[in-house]
Order: sequence, then C-alpha cells, then structure tokens
Amino acid sequence: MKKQLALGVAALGLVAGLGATSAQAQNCSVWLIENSTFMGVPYGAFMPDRAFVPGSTSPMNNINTVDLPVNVGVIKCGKELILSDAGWNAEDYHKMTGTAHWSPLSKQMAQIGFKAEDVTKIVIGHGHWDHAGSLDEFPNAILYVQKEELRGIEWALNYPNPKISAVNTSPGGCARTPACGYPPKTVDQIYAKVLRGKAVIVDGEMEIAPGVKIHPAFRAHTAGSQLLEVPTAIGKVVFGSDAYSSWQGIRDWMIANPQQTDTVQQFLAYEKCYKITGGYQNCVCAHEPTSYTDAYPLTKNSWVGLNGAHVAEITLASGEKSRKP
Amino acid sequence: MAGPTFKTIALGALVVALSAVVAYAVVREFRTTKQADAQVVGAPMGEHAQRPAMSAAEERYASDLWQIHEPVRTAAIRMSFAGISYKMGEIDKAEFKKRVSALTEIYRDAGKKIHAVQPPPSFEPLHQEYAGALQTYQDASIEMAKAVKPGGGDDNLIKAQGMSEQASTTLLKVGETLWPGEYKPN
Repeated sequence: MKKQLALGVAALGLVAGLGATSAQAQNCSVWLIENSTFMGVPYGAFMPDRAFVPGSTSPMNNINTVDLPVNVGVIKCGKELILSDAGWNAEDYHKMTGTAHWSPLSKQMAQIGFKAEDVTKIVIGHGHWDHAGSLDEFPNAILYVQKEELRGIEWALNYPNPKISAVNTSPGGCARTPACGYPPKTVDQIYAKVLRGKAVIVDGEMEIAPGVKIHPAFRAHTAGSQLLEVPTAIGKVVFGSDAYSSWQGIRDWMIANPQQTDTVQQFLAYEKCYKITGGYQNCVCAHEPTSYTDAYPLTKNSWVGLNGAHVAEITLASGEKSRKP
Repeated sequence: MAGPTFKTIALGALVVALSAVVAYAVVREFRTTKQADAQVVGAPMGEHAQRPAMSAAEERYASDLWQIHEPVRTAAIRMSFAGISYKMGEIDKAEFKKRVSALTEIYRDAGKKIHAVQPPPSFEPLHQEYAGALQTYQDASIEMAKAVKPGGGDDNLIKAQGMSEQASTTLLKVGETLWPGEYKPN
C-alpha cells in the first residue's frame, strides 16, 4: 500500500478513516433503480421464516414465490455521484437466473439524466456478482470495498477442505459455500479497479464525502459486508445491500438471504439502521419484494422505466429538480 | 293429493346422484387447475423449468467438463487475488511469481485434460470455446508473470487482466448452457 502511494500510481486506501472530510455534511438526493428482477424465487429460500405452507392462511406463510428486485442506489451529494452497489450484467447470466426487466445500469441511469462517466464513487455492500457485476461500466468511479470482504473470499479459496474452498460445490447449484457468489469475472472487475488505481480498500468505517459514511457489517451477509449512511432532507438513510435484503425482515426482525450470513451479525446490522435513522423506515434494501409499492413507503414515489424496471425518487436535496417523468 | 310414485322417487334420486357427481367433478377440476397453476408459479427460477432436457451424452459431457471447470474457475479467482495482493504490497515479487506460475500449471493441466473429453456434436462449438478460454487463461498467467521480470510492469498486468476477463466471460456463457443455475441470486 505504502509502495503504491509513494509511487503515486494508485488511489488505494487501506487506512481506516482515510478520506474522512471535515467539510460540513450537506443533504443528498437519492434515487433507487431496479437493475433487474429475479422472478419466482421460493419465499422460503429468501426468508426461511416465511417458507410457504400450502393451505396456510397466515400472511407469514401463505406466499409461495416472490419476485425480487436487484436495487441499486444513486446518490448525488453536491458534485459527488455515488452508487450503492453496481448491479450486474445480465448478458452473461440472463438465462441462468430467470431474470426480467434487466438493462445495463449505465442506460438505466441515463434515463434519469446521469452519465456513467460522471459516477465518482461506487460503494459495494459486498462483492457478489449481482452487486459488483458491472463495475466496468463506470470507468472513472473509485470502488470502495472492505478489506475483510477480499480476505474472506481468499480465505475460502485457500481452505484445505475442497468442499469448503469450492466456489460452488456441485453442478447447477451454488450451495452457499464460503466463496459462493463470486464468479471469476466479478473478481476480475474488482481487480481491474485495484490495478488501475481506482479502488479504496476500506478497513472498517470511513467517511467518503461529507456525512456519507461507510459502516462495516461484517458477516451480516458476507465476510466483509458494509453499509452506507447518507444524510438527506428526510433524515439519514442507510443502504444495506444484502445485509438488508428484506425491508420486511428489518421491520419484523427476520433474517433474509442467508448466504454467508451470521444471523446474529445481520440482526446487529438491522439494529445499526434503527440507531442511525431512528427506525426502520429509512433502511434501503437490495431485494425487498415490495419495493416500489406503497407497502415499502420509502420507495413508493416510483415509476416504470426502461424494460419495465422500476425507478424511485426517494428524496431530493434543496435545489435538486425532480427526475420523475 | 296423491303421494309420490316409486317412479318419481327413483327419478329424483337419480337427479340428486347425477348432480353430486357433476358437483364433485367441478370441484375436483377446479382444485387440479389451481394446483397446476401453483406449480407453474412455484417453479424455481422460472426459465430453468422451461429448458429442454439434455440428452444422456450431453449430460455426461457437462459432468465431465465440470471436473475440469471447478479447479479452473478457482484458479481464475486466485489469479485476480494474486494481482490484488501484489498491488496492495502484501506479497513480494517472488511470492507473486510463485503464485502465478502455479496457476499456469493448473491451466496447462486443464488444457491437456479437455482434449481427452469428447463432446457430443451438439456441444462441439461450445467445447472449442471452452478450450480457447483455457488457453487464454494460460496466456494471461504467463503475461502476468512478465510483470515482475526485468522490464516488466503494470502494462503486463493490465494486458493480462483483460485477457483473463475475456476468458471469464466465456466461462459464464458456457456455464449458462451446461450448468444452468451455477450462480443463483444472492
């Protein structure tokens, strides 16, 4: 790290708190883009406590499958244009995942008037393929990823038991092994950012713009999951990526999307949102099935955009014009 | 008023019985339809359920190639991590070279093995694509190693990264056909 900094060839940060600013926090504008939708996912596979029971009349168990959005946050704070997660590239995976509504994230951003080259920072909540899968669309953006996330993947790859080190354990199924969810191409793109001096390897908390703070949420979904706190006119909002897969899960204290998850840590990540925002309303979730409806009030100010995918205008900073058609 | 005749009673009973049969049939049909609907809706990951089944020869090929694919995929990720660790200053040139050279051997070994796998005619183009990706990975690892040789540097790493990403894309495309669901939503 020191070598790169000394040589002036890398914009790589490895020190907790690097990038902290003393400037006064200003409110940010926030939009949410549905990068795609995973169709017909069994509810119990997403939230074990809500597994479908045929014939049940309980609202907790009477839903068979759900369509899960893949939500990406677009955050504008002054001249900073920040993404919370980076979606994925369905051209490579499309048929494998039963996906609908996908378009390239750069095109989805263009529909609300943002250029991909203007994105200054991308904070990936974790490194899974559906959250870090289109980094190459944003050549000027600095990537923020936790060192713990990289360490976790590498640890898994080098584990002596092949059943644990396997990226996937069997044909046709990611069985939630420690390295599950990190295809070579996704890791390639993270490496490309590091190689080009466009990555900050975060070690814990970090303020990346005035009032915009990264919080570690290790093992809340993956080894190095992280949250992003953003100051807005409606109070602080927290983007949780897959540590906050389900907003209903945060509201009802139920775990969701347990991949490499320590459920205790996921609950502590939920609590973090309550503490930062004063409740659960402003927790921004990556795969909440009720996104873009009245049932998830933060995201209800929405419309249908490119290829049938939703967009929500969550809050506008003073002077920021609406981008809702 | 005279009471009902035997004939009338028999006719009434027949009507009641027939009505019961019809009612039962309607209810049963309705239930069957609902169950069928539920199965369609509940098919995990919709599009998978619509895929045509592979032939036995295709299944065998997919299984054989998986044995090659798994270590290759892991090696590809290790290659990225060798680069990340080197760029972060966590490993020196000697360790970097050692790690990358080991990966070259994995790709070379996989390249030999794939020639022993006979694809069915339907998968011949895909087989060639995969073999090409293995060669690209191998070339990328060799290019990467040049970075720590005299005169080498980041240019070699950048070139190698591009090659590696190209091969990784091929792996995904092949996997889409051979191992649908290789990467599930997460």
